[in-house]
Order: sequence, then C-alpha cells, then structure tokens
Amino acid sequence: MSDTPITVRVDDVHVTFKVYEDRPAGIKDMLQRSRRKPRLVHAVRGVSFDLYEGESLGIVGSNGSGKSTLLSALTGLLPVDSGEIWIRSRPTLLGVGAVMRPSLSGRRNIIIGGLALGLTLDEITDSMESVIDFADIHDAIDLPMRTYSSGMRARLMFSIATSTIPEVLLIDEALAVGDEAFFRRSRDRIDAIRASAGSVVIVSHNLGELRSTCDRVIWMDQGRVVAEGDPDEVIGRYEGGISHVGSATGGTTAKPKSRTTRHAASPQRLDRRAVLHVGTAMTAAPIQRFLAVEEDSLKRQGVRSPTFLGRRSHYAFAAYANEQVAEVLAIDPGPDWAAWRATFRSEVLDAMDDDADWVVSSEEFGTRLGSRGLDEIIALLRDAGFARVEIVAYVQRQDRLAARMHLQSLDQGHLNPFDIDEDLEHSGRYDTALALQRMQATSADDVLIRLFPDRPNMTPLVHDFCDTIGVDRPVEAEWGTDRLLNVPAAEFVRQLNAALPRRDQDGNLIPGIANPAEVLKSGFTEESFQLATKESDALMARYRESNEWVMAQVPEELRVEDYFDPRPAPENRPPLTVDDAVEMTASLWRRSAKG
Amino acid sequence: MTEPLPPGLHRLGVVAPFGSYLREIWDRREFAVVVPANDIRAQNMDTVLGQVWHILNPTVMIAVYWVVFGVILKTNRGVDNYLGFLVIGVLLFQLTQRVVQECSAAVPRNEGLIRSIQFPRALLPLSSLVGQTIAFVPALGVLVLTLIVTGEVPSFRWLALLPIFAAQALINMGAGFIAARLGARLLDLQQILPHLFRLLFYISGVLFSVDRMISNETIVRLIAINPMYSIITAARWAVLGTPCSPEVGFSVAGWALLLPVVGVLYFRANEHRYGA
Repeated sequence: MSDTPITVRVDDVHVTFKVYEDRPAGIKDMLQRSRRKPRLVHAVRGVSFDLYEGESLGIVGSNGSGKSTLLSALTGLLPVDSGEIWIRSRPTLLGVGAVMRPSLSGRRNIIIGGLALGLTLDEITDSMESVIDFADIHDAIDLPMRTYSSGMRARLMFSIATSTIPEVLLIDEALAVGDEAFFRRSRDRIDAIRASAGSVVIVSHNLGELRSTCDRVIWMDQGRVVAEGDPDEVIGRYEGGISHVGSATGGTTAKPKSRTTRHAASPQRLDRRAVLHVGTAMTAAPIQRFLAVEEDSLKRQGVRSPTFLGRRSHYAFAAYANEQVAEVLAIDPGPDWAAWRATFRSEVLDAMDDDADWVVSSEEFGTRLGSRGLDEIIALLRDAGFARVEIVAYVQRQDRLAARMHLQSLDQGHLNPFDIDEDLEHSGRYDTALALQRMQATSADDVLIRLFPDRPNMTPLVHDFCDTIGVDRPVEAEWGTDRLLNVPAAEFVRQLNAALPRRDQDGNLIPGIANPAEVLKSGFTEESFQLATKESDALMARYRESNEWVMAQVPEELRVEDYFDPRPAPENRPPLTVDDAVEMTASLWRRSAKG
Repeated sequence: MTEPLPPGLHRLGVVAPFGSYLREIWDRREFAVVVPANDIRAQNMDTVLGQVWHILNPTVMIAVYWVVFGVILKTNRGVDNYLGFLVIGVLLFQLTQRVVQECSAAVPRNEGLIRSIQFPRALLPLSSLVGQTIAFVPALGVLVLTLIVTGEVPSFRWLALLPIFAAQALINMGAGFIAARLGARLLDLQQILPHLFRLLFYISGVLFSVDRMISNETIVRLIAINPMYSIITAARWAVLGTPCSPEVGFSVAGWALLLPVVGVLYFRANEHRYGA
C-alpha cells in the first residue's frame, strides 16, 4: 500500500470542543459563568492514519467514540487542537439530515448544488434526470425539500454531492437511512470514486455494510484508535469487545433485558437520565402558540433553539424552556420509521455526546408509535448508557384530540410501522387516556403528565384535578414556561376517566373514557361526524392522487374546531345541520387550497 | 510520523493560493447569477402586485421622503432639484445597505449548502451582491425617470455615472465580504446593522446637502471621507451638476480599490470555519 499515493494524512490529531458553544456565548453566559459553563470535550485524542488512493476506510466505535468529530475535523469544520491534517483536496462530508435549501424543491436544490460544485447550467440540465433517478425521487422532486423523509433527503444529497466525483468522500451514516436498492446504487458510486483514484471514509454502525464495502477498518473508542486493519478482524474484535463491556455494565441498568449487544454502553454515562417529551397531535398547537408568546422572553433568558433533527421542534423547545436543560434534541420519527431509527442510532446519540441529559421527542411518539415504538426508543436510550428513562407527556383536551387524531390517522398508509391492527385502532378510536395508558405500558421508569390549562374548557377539569391531588391551581392567564402542571400519569388517567361522563344507550351517564366517535357524538350530531370523515377521506384521496402525500399532514389551518364547535350545545342552540357543515367544510377547502 | 510528507498534499486550514481561489470562483460564476436571480423572482411571488413591487417600492419610498423632507420640513433649502437630489441619495444608499445586510446573513442562511458541498464560500456574499444589484435595476429606472421628469437633460456628464456605479459595486463587494465574515459568527450583526446604517444615513448627506447644513470645516471634511457620502456626492455631481470637490473623487477611487481587496482577504482568511 505504501507505494500508492496518499490522499489524506491524519497526524496525531486532537480535537476538543465546548459542548454548549454551538453558538457564541450570550451576554448572560458571560456574566454568569458559573451557571452555564461550557464543558470541554476531548473528543479525538491523538489519531493518526493515512488514506490512500482508491481506498475505502471504515470507522467503527460506540456512540461518543469521536468518529463524527473526526470527520468534521477532516472537512475543516472543527479546528484541531494539535496535530496536523494534510489533504489533497478538501473532503466532502455526507451526514444524515443535511439539506441545502429546505424551502426549495428538490429540483432547485439539484441546480444550486450543481452550480456550487462548478457545473454549468447546461451540464446540470443534462444530468438532471440521472441525479433524480439515482436518488429515486420522482414524484416529489418538485416539492419543497423540507417535506422529504430523512431517507429521501439522504438519497438526494448523496446523489447531488457525488454528481461530480469527489476526490475524498466522507460518509457519516448517510447510507443507513436508505433502502437496500439505494445502498447498492451508492456502492456502485463509491466504487466509481475509488476507480478514479479517490478515497472514501465510511462511519457506520452497520457492520455488514463496512465488511462488504471497506478495505480497512479503524476501531475508535474514547477518541483513540483501538485497532486498525483487516475489516473482518477489526470488526470481529470490536464485536467481542462490546459483549465484554455490555456484560460488565448491564447489571446496573434498570432494564437489562431491553439492551442490545450491538453497541457498547459507556460506563461513565450510566448515571445519566433521558427524558422523552411526548406529545399528541393536539398539543402541538398550544405549544406553538406558547412559544410564539414566550419567544422573546426566552431569547432574553438565553434559551436557544434546540438542535433540530426533525420536522417539528416545539416539544424540544418547550422542554428546553421549562427545564433550562443543557442539551435538547428534537427528534421526529416522521413517516419512515426504519430511516428514523437509523438516524436515531447514529446521529442523535452521537450528537448527545457525554454531557447531554435530555432527549426530546415530538407528537409522533405518543400517537403513532404506540407503546412498542416507545419501548424501542427507550431501549435505544438505555443502550446509549442512560440509566433512567422518563416520559413527560403533554396533554390537552380530550374530545378534540380524538377528532383531530381521526382526521390525521386517515392517512394511515405510511403511519404505523408496527402492525396494521394498531393502525386501525388509531383510526377507529384513539384518545388521550389510551395514549397515556400506552406510555405507562412502556418500560419507562416514570411517566409524568404535563397539563396545558390554557383552554377555558380544560380549566374546570384541571382545577378539580388539582384540588383532588392537593396541589395549587395554576393561574389561568399566566400559564407558560414554569406554569405547566406536572402530575403523575396513573392518577391523571383515573381522574380523567372519572371526570368525563358519557351516556349509555338508555341515556344514563357512565364514567370512563369514550372512544372518539362517541366523544364526538356526545357533543355533536352523527351526521356532522360522518361528514367530517367523508371530507377528510376526500382530502387524503386528493393528496394521494396529486402525489402530494408526502405532505399529507392535515394542514395546520384545518382545525377540528372549524368543523365543530367543541363546546357543549346550549339548550337553545339549533343543532348543526348537514348544510351548515357542508358550507363550513367547503369554505375550509377553499381557504386551504388558497394557502 | 517521521516519514517525509507525501507529495501533492497541503495542510488543512491553510487556504489555497489566492489565484486558484479566484479561479474556482470564476469557474462557478453561474452560481452567483442564477441562484440570486431565482431568489429575487421568488421574493414577491405571493403578493398581489408581484414583480411590480420592485418598481413600486423605490417609488413609494422616494415619495414618502419627498413629502416629509421636501414638502413638510422644507429641507430643500438651496437645492434646485430637490426630488432629483433625494432620489439619488436615497436609492444609492439603499443599494449599499441592502447588499451589506444580505451579505451579513449569507453564511448562516446557506449553512446546509456549506456543510454538504465544497466550493469557495466567497460565492455566497457574491451572490448576495449580484442579487441585490439585479434588484436595483428597476430602482435605477425609477431614478432616471425621476430625473428626466424633474427637468434634468441627459448630457455627456451622465456617463460619469458608469464608473461611479462600478466603484460603488466594488465598495459594496468589499463591505459585503467583511459583513459576511462578521455575520457568520455573530448573528447579532443582523440586528446591529440597521442601526449602523441609520447612523451612516444621517452623516452621508442623503437628505440634505452637508456643506450647507454644517459650517464646521473639520466635520465636513470628516464626513467627506465616508464612502457613501463620496459616492452620493459624485453621482449628484454627474447628474445634477451640484458641487463636488476633488477629495470626493479620491475618496471614491480609494475606497473602491481598497475595500474589495481587504474584504476578500478578510473573508477568505476564515474560509474553513464557515458552517462549523
């Protein structure tokens, strides 16, 4: 190998970074050094290797071993403390979740990326179809890139970044989010890079991928190179090393059975606590509103936007505002669970290196994944060394939640990755209590409910509840960052069941949680419910037909309260007629079609 | 490692030679035109009047300034064609302000692109510059139209506008590069800049003729060093024939030669850190 020309030389490189300083310190930080002291993470500790022409080098290691940091240093994005990196040309880094201009279509991003790579417009036009083909994004290519799943993004980014053959390509788990067919195509392209005297570095947790793609593998642990050499040999030792570490520390975690043996848990992180902030579809709106109101004061307090790895970040932000925590990640699984899981394994846990105490999630967990999905995430967290995993569930009103969920879950084709029965259950009957019960059924160490006492209709329930369990009633007008009410889940479910009456066939009141249909019926007419169902079916059908289904979230402005007045009908109010409902719906379509 | 350094490698963090940096930019010149041109087209797409806003905006702004300062406050003391005087000052000033502000946001706005593709980062402030300059063309039409309507007769002296505009473009580029590097790290700059420009606005003689309002010679001379004052004064001289000292000409040329060089070197020195 020594006769082959070298493309990259890494010589005794050390990289240290400050954990909280992904932004410059604010004035508050400067004045209050003691409160938010940036911690230094010595992520890469003296790594040396040469990369040769035509070579494909794999890097393995547990989360937090410094792999991603090393790749960032190789592109020059992170400065090295000591040591030297010598390059022939600056490497191209492909990471998970990268996008160029999220608000522009995939096609425009191809043009922008191509121009930045130095292609001419004519060349880009000529290669456009092949870039699209390679990414395998045909229907969605003219939709904004922010509507893409993580798999689609990764495929398109890979396709763009390799549309001219780079001399050195660094791949940080970017292949993991694609499917098998994409993996094969990308391997062809990697071969093409190697054939044209380029080099490829692949960081991956997919050991099979590394075995089949790499000529040489480096095993990193705690910022150092533990082993280097033949892929089978190094990966074999790596796997052996993991099971050793796993058995040594497994006993100290709360749920050893949920651990997998694939990843090493770093012993020094076993005292860490992860908190999953879980919402339901209905709670997204108040959190957003709350953030809109509070944003300025949050900014003044020095609260920054959380690391954003999903489509929505408001739970992360709310959690951040409430807890003033060090590190927050908004992780939204989206429709593509397999892709998301791959992202979670690599990117998310790596990004949380060492000092993060919190993981934050969004509404998808509560409503789409069910207890099995949550359990899998909890297992991932325990796997990453979190000894204690808790869930904080955001809860709002009950009946509209159900109605909204019904509307959303009609788009069930790509919702629940687990089983069709759960999907049917989502669309047929789903409510807060069920969601909470699911969360309780997980292996989380604790489940906490956070109430939003912001709606007049919710207030009596919250007040009753506070009186019952003996806590102060929240001040209605002042709810916000520190005004959210925390209560234990089991108690809340019991109270909720007791507080929401429903009627049996004879009109007698029976306590307990009704299913959404019944909740709707108790407040509204059967016809209006049917109509809503029909209309939302039609909407979804239209989305599918026009290939817009990747955006098939029910539009934000389509609120269930626009269909139905959620308040109980007063005695003298005429019932909602079918004509009224048709007119209301039609005006909504017009409005959302315009928007 | 003790073995000798293999050939063909350079140290990461050491910026490529200036010449090859410029060549790489030149190779990608289409980027700096196509991308901002599309952004501008997209800008007013959702508004009722659409692209008409590019003409309406400067027109309305001029009208407002004219009503406030020309009609109500009568700042026009001593200036014959106050509307023409105003339109040159306001529009030229606004061009520079827009370029610099856009440039200050150029790096953070394109973080995704920076992280995923290797290209000379100077393309980003350059495309902001090109974009704002393209957007200035309709305003330029408004400017010329206003001058003709207010009775100015085009003469050969108007040709002096060409080098003046070129000088302004160079000054904009230099200031834009500096703003782009500062704005990459310090997001607060986007908040600070409007205030700085507001201050600059008042000491650039945009609304009133400085030498008529301020009698202190030293202050007038200090103001004259400011590149915006020089550009605006020179442009007024070319079109309106208002007085213009030789110092103004030196100031324009000096800034136009100095700023782009300082700007691009300053920006490039940080090349590897953008997007981190």
